[in-house]
Amino acid sequence: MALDGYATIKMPLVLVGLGLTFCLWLSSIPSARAQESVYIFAAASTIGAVNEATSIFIKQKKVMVVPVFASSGALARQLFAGAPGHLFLSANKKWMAWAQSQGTIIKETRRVLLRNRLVVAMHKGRNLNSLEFKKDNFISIVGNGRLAIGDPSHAPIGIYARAALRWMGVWKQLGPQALRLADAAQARSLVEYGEATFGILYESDVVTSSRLKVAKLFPAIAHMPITYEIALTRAGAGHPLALKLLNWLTGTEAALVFAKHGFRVD
Amino acid sequence: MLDAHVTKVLGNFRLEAQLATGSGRVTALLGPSGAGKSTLASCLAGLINPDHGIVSLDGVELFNSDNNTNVTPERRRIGYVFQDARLFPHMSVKSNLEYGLRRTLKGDRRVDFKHVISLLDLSDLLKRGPRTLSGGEKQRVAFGRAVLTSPRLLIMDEPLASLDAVRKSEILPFIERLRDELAIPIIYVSHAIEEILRLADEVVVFADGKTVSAGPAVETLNAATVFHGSDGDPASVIEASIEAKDPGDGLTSLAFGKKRLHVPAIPGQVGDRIRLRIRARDVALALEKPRDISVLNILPGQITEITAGGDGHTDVRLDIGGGLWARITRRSATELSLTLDQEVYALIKSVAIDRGSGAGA
Amino acid sequence: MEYLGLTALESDALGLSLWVALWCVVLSLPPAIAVAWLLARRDFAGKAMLDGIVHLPMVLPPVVVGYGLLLLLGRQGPLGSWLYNVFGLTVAFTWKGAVVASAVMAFPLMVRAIRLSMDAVDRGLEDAARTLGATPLGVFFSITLQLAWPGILTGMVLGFARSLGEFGATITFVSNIPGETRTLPLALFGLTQVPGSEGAALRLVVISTLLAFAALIGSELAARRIRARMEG
Repeated sequence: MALDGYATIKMPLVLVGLGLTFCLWLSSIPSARAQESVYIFAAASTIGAVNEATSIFIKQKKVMVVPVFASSGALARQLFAGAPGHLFLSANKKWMAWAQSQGTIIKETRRVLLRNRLVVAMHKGRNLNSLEFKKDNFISIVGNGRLAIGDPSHAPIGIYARAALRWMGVWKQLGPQALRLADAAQARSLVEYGEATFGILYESDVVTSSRLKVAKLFPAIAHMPITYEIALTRAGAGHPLALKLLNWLTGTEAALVFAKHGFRVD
Repeated sequence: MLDAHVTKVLGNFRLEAQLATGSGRVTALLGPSGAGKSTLASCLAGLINPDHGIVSLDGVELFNSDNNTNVTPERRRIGYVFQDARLFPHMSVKSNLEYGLRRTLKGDRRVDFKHVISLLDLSDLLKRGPRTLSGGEKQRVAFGRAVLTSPRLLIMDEPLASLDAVRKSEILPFIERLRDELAIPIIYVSHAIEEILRLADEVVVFADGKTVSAGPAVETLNAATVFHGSDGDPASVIEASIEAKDPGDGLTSLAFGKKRLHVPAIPGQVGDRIRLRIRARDVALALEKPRDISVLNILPGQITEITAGGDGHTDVRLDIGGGLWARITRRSATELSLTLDQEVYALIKSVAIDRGSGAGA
Repeated sequence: MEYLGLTALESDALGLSLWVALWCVVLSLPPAIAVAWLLARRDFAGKAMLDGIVHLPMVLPPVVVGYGLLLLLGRQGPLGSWLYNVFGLTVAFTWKGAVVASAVMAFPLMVRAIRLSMDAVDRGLEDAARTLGATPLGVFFSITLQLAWPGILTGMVLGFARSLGEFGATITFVSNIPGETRTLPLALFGLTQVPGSEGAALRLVVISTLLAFAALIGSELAARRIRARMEG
């Protein structure tokens, strides 16, 4: 069998060359998206609602809208670094304030778009006699099973959960053993799959879930208001359709969609 | 012609050596393992850089620590055959052979590809991969690969050390062919006296990182400090020529100087020069010429050296018209009252023949 | 666009993931080979430091790497603004940035695999090649690279697979832009946020797994061919 010193890499090189040529031909695919698209950078917890709302807008106005979802903090930093977003929907007041201080958003356009509420959630199939926001009762019932919350050190849902548990005076007992998840979606999943008996979640996540139900709703005083603020970014100010989208999202048609997804609208 | 003297320190080991090739075709570098021979060879080829010194080939400086001359190995035109062949596993034998050839400028190519293939019997191996070759086959390919670069000097670093005795005797003729048919000077590094006796014109003796002695093969090998054959026994070398062959009683007589030795029939023709190796313990001494004794080879000589050894033996050097070592017990030496300059008789029981430099050398 | 019974989201993400992974390997292979060779063959002051820097993306949280890239290559960043001013090139928030994120995360894996195989190449063979007239560069291409090829192939597959699975650095650096940076893992992330999307998420998991298998099997076959050739 004839060996030639260079045979061992000839073939793979040829393949890589072919692959790249093919990709180069394909390269029209990933690049230029329609320049007229409006990009809305929205917090991941609003995916369902924003997707549905924007698809209605797209159908109506025959315009391309591209939602980009990540955590509010990542989005804020990316917009500051020049990301091509025209609207910013933040699940976290702190990040919107930061964006404003950096001049990333047009402060006159900043407003509260959505509100949410905090609930104790559990699997639909479970039965509960009554749950009180009284220390002993709460601990005896919730302390029995596993409690899923967001990680209070960085997840907004976790920060709210900790505030609520502190308000009740049970954070010291329940906090240490609670399961800390990276975000609201993970906390929700744990309860849906029965890994956790209870979870402190957003009302919007629970009412849209086919597997969960609300065990009890936290009163407003238990935590800071959960607000989702929206604003036009500096890049968006230059886009003719961005303001249109912003106004539409604050209108009644969009409000219906948001309500359907469990959010509260002003 | 190569001329080198280098110094190199490697950890605890200090190499401080001179080496020069003369007009002979093969210069052997002889020394025990660990003496630093391979280190020296690597310095010559440029694979290792000496700390200090000069290496020059045919008048051109390849290395000089005083003026920062250091020619890279690939430009030195020094061929190298390694003990472990080092054939490139991802190439066929043919590609291995062509590797250096391709990198030699057309104007420098003096060695013919077909000639080398037939010289080293490589035509059946060309399409094979190195992994399927035996040790001897690998070395033949290694020889071919090295000479095809038409080097100005060929270094063979213990090329037969990893072969068994049968293979060694198969491969040695190929080295002789290379020596005889290609006009490339060879430096042959080895600790095996038999190989060196067979191939070398000149010998440089090496020990502990230093050149101990250098000169024509037979003379140098007979010097006191050297000579232990591969079986650990001291031995002497004599260069002789075939004087007559007697088919009758199957003996051949060899002449050296005015002396004669009789040995069982050996191949070769009258006039061929050969080298003999005589183990010191195969030589007995007598104060008077013995009679009615079976030993054929009895030669008179004068004692030039007496050295008492460790294990109760004594080595005695005689001048019989050439040097000859005899190893006897210390007791015998005392009882015979051997002294320097004494005239005694050497009784040579057996002689090992190493074929010499070939016809007309 | 829909292909092969996949939804638009799926084929989009799949195509983008493949594209990014391929370019990731192409981009990081030459420097990975160079760095691996340096670490395998040379001693120099700061070698341990280089080794440490190379491995940094392996020990840092991917999100941290992503932020680092954002600071460096974002339009305000030192490197990003230079690229933009001199070449008009924007890397952040484009598929090119996704390639960079993948390449940075995959780099240590590739260097490790390649270095291992270079360490195993007999330096005696390289010496022999020098005596036969090969320059150091010639030795590298005709001997070292050829014999290290199985390791290089492994490195390429590892890099490819790492890129397919790359999430944290990507979403932090280039965000989650559909059609531009939304690779399979980012698409999967999006689906997990929406209640009731388990079915769609599962489809993506299956696609990702099949892709990884294909890469592994492909590399195994290639490695076998190389070994067979070498056994002659």
